[in-house]
Amino acid sequence: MDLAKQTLQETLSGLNNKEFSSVELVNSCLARIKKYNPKLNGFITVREEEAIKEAMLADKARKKGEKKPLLGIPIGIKDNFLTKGIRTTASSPVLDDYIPQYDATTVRRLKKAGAIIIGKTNLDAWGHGSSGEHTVYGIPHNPYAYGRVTGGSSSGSGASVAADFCFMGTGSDTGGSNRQPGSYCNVVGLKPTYGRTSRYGVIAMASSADCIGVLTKTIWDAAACLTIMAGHDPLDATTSTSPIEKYHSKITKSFTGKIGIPKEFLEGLDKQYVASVIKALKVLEKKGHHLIDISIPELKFAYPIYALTTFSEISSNLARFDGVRYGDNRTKFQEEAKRRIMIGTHSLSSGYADKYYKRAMKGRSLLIKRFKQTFEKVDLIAGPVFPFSPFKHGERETDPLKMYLSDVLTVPANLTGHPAISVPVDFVNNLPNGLQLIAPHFMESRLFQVGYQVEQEYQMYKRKPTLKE
Amino acid sequence: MKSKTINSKIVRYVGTLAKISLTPKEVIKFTSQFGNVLEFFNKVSQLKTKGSAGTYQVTNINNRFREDKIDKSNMLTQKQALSNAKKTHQGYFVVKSIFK
Amino acid sequence: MKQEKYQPTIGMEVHVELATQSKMFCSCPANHFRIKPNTHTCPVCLGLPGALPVPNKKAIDWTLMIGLALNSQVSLESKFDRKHYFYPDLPKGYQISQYDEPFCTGGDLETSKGQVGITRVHLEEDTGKLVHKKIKGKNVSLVDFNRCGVPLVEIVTEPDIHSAKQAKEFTKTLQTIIRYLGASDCDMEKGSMRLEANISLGKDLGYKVEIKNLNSFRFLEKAIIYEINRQEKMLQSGKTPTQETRGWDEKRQQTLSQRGKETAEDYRYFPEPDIPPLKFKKEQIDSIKKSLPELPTTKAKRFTSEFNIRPDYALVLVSQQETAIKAENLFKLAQKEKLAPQKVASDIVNKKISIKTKTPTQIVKALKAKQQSQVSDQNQLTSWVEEAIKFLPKAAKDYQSGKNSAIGALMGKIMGLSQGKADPQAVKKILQDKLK
Repeated sequence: MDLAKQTLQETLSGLNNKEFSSVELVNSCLARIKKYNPKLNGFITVREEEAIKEAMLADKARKKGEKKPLLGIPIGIKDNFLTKGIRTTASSPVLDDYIPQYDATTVRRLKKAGAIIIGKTNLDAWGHGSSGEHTVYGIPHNPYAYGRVTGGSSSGSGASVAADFCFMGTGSDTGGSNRQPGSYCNVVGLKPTYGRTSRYGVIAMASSADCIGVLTKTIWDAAACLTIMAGHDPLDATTSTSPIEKYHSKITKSFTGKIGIPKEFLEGLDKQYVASVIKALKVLEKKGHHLIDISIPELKFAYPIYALTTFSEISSNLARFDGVRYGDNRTKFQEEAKRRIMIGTHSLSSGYADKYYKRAMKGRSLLIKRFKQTFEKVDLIAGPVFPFSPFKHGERETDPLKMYLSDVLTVPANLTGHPAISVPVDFVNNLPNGLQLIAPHFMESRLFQVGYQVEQEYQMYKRKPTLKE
Repeated sequence: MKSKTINSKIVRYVGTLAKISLTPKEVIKFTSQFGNVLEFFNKVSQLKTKGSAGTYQVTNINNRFREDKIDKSNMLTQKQALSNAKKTHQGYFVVKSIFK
Repeated sequence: MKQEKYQPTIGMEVHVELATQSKMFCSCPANHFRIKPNTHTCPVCLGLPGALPVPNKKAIDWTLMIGLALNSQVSLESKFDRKHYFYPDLPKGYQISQYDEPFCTGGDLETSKGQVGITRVHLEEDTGKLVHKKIKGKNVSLVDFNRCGVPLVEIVTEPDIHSAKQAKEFTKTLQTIIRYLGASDCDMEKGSMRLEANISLGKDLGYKVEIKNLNSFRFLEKAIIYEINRQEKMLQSGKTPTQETRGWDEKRQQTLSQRGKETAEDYRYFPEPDIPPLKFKKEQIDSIKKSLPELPTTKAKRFTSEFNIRPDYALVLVSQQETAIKAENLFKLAQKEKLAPQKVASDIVNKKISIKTKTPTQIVKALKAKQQSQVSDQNQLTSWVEEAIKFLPKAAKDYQSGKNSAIGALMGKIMGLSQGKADPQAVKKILQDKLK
């Protein structure tokens, strides 16, 4: 049995029962990476020697009785999370040789929990993209359909977890970047509530929307990782002090409630695609949930509000990359980054700020108000993740607007700060698909509980991809 | 279709504001792309936002401070601070003279 | 007498480095004086990718304190904003500052030449420092980020200042107030207090010249005087001075144009998303207001009303808080011992007694002894006066023909003859009567 093909939960159990060692585990993952990553491009940087060394130390610690929750588990860190002493590129030539001087808080917490960083995963440079194609380190392939996209921007984490290169990949979700690769790669993609996890040490994209989460094989895995990652950080003033839970211990709690399906989420979508999502919702209905048709008219404006707000913040957050203290100069920014910086700068500039940025901020308030009202009537909001199936590399590249519109279903949760998840459901035409669930603030447990119900029904984590060398 | 919202003069000006150097080809490309993109984004003008205060913080939290204390644990040594710079000199970062 | 048309209209911008232990948005030491370059930095103040700001509570409290001391209104809701521009000493490419919701608005500060309105008091972070050098024949700029992120309070005045003297008085008083509050040492040489002046002549002539690089009170006065002259000459010859930034050049003793900017910088301000908004309660503000120490101008007025101290002497005595406290103790003790506080004040200001090296008790003892040994016998005094007049006939004649200052020499002779024991006030009267 390939140890790497287990879930995180199974692996922890196996390690604790001394069925195998961490060294064997890491070697199993490394073997797969060596074989399949050159084509798949899930990882940008792989720590072969260091990971094995750390695995040896983990095994020793375990023998001594140390009880760290992720002791000896190899994980992937998205390459926009700073890792001390480990090259961090953000997938851009600007940071090609950057070696960070400190660890992101999330990385620190995972290391403290005993996890082993097996490598840095690929992404759309700076988080700008939802296909995974905006990288200079090799475009990742969808493990289930080579030649097609993985979804992004946490593309490498999605692909690597699906390909069993590691047991979890971190992700940052600003407009869908965890949920989208989740949906396209047949894995769980989690975006917690804004402020539930710390952004300190993650290269900022849009400060008011960036949300740190994970991609995992199962719901339990995601919940366990959130338990470790969540919590107030004195170094991030936007983190919440609301109490964290042991999320993984509550996922089997049976929760049934009202699930609202906004009609705006289903308009203009591929019919087969919609059918797959509705089928999943019918499964939940059988389990006791009430499906309610709702309407959130402001959703039509969600993407423009999102773009103006986030592109403005992007233009500001990328201003620090001047090549003086680290990295290369600004001429090395690739096209998509240049485009967003330019649009964002224009949107904030004198004479235009009122029309664009400020208007978008006000629109955001309206959307938040509407979501608040909606959650007074329903317990969850549901819908698809992408408007269409995983597309071929290059298919949507030529027209930026076409690219941007991939995000219309995922951006609302980033504007309102609500936690959201993508749970694998039935494939459509042999291509992966995910169901999106959105919960009220700080109710990640609800996402896990309902997601677990879907997972129990479909057990999509058992469907493994056929990888190519 | 030539967009009223964007022209190449604006694109070049934004390039200088954002310190993004643009080739003439890029100016042309961006001018046409931005026109379409911004027209779409301008949908926000259809929203009835009068009287609405903007949101830049979705958390509803206020007053997050730190005490006025020195904490050396997050500090960098001089070596660490300079470790990724392309040019340094006796503990300083080096840039082109700001005087012409 | 200047024409109303060309009355100098001056507004000032003062930046004050707060004397907090740590920086504004991180826990690095705020002290950067004579520290090796780039040794007081962290990911936040160095602007590393992923770093986030967390505001220093004391810096905010002190900003409110400064505003309240200047009679400003403190906003109950406030925020920080990002101010964007590129410069090597600004690591993030933006400065965290305040734009449209500063902590304090309005206020005023009294000067002897009128009240100066305060527009606003806000809080921001300082930038790094640039040093210019030639390395291997090439001109380069060297950057040190130790100062980057130190809390900086910006105080902006209304254009209510009308002379160089008034500007100096305003700045000195502001310096004293902030020192009294303990918020900063306001040391211009060290750079913990920095001045900028906006100068134009007349009202609404459509231009404003910003003067920078005013590192001392002397430079401030000289630069303003020079600038007023320069602008007046231009206006008189029919030209309008260019709206620009100029710097004081001490070598050439003139202001020189610094940057030829056709357009104003577009700072693209927007609310800082990494810092949640700030909300204060009225009780908090009231409590800070109550905790304000007695401020220099109030103290000076009280010295006059309680102890009959000459107003100008009172202002001198309050200019340093420690001195003021000592002086007050001295006055109280003097009153007890039936010595006139106003005379004590005069002796201190005219440097006849040292308030710094002697305690109030010691000083009062010495003054009492002097008083007792002081001769007030009219006959003795008269004989000394007559002797002095005989000795200095020219001085006596000068005084009689209107040269008032000549009395100084005569007084000096009398004091010498009496070995300092003559009662100066009494003897002066006798002298003046004799010379009528």
